[in-house]
Amino acid sequence: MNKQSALPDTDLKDLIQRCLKRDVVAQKRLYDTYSPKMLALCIRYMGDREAGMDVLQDGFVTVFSKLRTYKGEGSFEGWMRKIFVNEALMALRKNDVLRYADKIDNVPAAHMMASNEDAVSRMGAKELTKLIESMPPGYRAVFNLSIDGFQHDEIARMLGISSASSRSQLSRARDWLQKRIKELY
Amino acid sequence: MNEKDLYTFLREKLDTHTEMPDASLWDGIRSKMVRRHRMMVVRRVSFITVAAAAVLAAGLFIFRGDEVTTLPSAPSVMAESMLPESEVPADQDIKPMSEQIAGLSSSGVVAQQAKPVTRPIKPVADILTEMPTERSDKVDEEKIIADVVVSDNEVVTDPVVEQDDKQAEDPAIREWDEKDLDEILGEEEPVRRKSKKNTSLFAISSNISNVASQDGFMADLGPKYAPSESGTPFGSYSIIPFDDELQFDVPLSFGFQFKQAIVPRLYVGTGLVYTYLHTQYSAMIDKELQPNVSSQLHYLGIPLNLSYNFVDRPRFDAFVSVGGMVDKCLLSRYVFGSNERREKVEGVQWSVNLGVGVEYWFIRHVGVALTPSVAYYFDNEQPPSIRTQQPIQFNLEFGLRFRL
Repeated sequence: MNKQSALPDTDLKDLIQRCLKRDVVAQKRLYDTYSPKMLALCIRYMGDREAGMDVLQDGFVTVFSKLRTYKGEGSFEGWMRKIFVNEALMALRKNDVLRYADKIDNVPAAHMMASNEDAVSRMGAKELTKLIESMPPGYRAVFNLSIDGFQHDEIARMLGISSASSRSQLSRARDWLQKRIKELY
Repeated sequence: MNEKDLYTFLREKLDTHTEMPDASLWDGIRSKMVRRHRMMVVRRVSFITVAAAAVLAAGLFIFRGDEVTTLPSAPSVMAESMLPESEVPADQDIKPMSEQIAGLSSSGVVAQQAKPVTRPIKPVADILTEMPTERSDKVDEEKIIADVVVSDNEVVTDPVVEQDDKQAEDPAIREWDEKDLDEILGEEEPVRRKSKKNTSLFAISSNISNVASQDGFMADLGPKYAPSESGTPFGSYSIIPFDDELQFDVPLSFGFQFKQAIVPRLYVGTGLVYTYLHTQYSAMIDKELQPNVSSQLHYLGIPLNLSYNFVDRPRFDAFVSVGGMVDKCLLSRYVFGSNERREKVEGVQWSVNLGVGVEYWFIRHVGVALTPSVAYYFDNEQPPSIRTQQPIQFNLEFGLRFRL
């Protein structure tokens, strides 16, 4: 069983093979399996459901067209996740949202507070997602990328900012999040 | 909990969250994928087409280049004499032409070289004399065309050439000719093949039959005439001509064509040709007689022609062509009084044509062409026009040609 996949490995391989042969039924099944999780990811990056749906649509088109490049190494869900993250960043870039990420770097950094682990652990996934969605776009992108395991140099490259900017914005994102959590709990 | 652990914790927490997409999203994905697939097919086909064209062009270029560089020195005198100055190989010792001819005449090479040059001339005259003559009262313009060709023919006629033609009628001489012809052609062929390239043609053509003969000049697009034939194959169109007093403007066509040699001297060509047909007549429209209906038909046609160069020289070609064309009426517009109506035209117009033409190349890649032709338009239930009333049409095409 693939650790992250909702499908057994054999089923997944078979599904991928059928998708490569343009089997619409297989494509639909793949979509049904992964779309709920990927939509949540897209919404988290984009900040609203409509924009997230657009990214999900473009992302699945890319997944099906690039499926041949998946060599079976590593998690399939992880591979898909990268595609959706990339699609989301492209959409943010297209909407000029990421420009804000660079501008906020000029704002003096607020006092960094220690993370309120208890509050975070008490929050449900949906509440946490809503909270992240309400983040300022620049913070949100860096914060989401950090959650998804990207390093600062990767984030910097993806967003077209410096590595130092990535660090400082992530700190501000954490600060912003902690303030909001404190307000709520 | 350090920073890394915090993010891992957050990721695991967020991974449990899902959102159900709208039901219509899958349809959107499918339609995008279909569009994308179509685009991919179009791109691939375009790429293959461009690549094939590039390979073909490169092949022609290399092929031509080899021929020119492999010309032996002595028999290449004629080859070089037929080449523009810029194309004479730089590494060859160029003697004055008189010296070259003097040196070769003793070996009989000049007469043999002239032979391939003269052969096409006789067919020019033959074919021109075989041009349709049944419309004796309408051939003024055809004579003009013939004059153009004949005068060109006179220019290229050489007494030496004519004498050689007469000699060639002797079987013994012909046998000798053919025996040695390969040796000569082996050198001349590269020069003659210089014209056997794919050629694009931008042409403007016009009808020269009845209108021209009646009103005096083929270039005059204004005058109208009444057709001699009766009967109107108007099919199911709602605008019905009231009588047969139809008046036509000269059809005007322009377009571009591309032709490619399939074997030496034989070309296949196709392209896209736009034609404008204007007709005026009285007609019943909505149960009212409209005395002056202006019909404007816009056709787009795809020709397919086979042409054979019976004269094939570096600067001058003469050819016969036979082929067909399918025309689709893209827009039919009828103007009567202050009203206008557009109707959809079903079906296509098929036609066949036969022509003879000449090409003259000013420079290596650019030339002009004149092609008189006769075309027959089949009855395909198209709206009334000169084509439906006078199925046999004489056309004159003038075009610019570009060698690729």
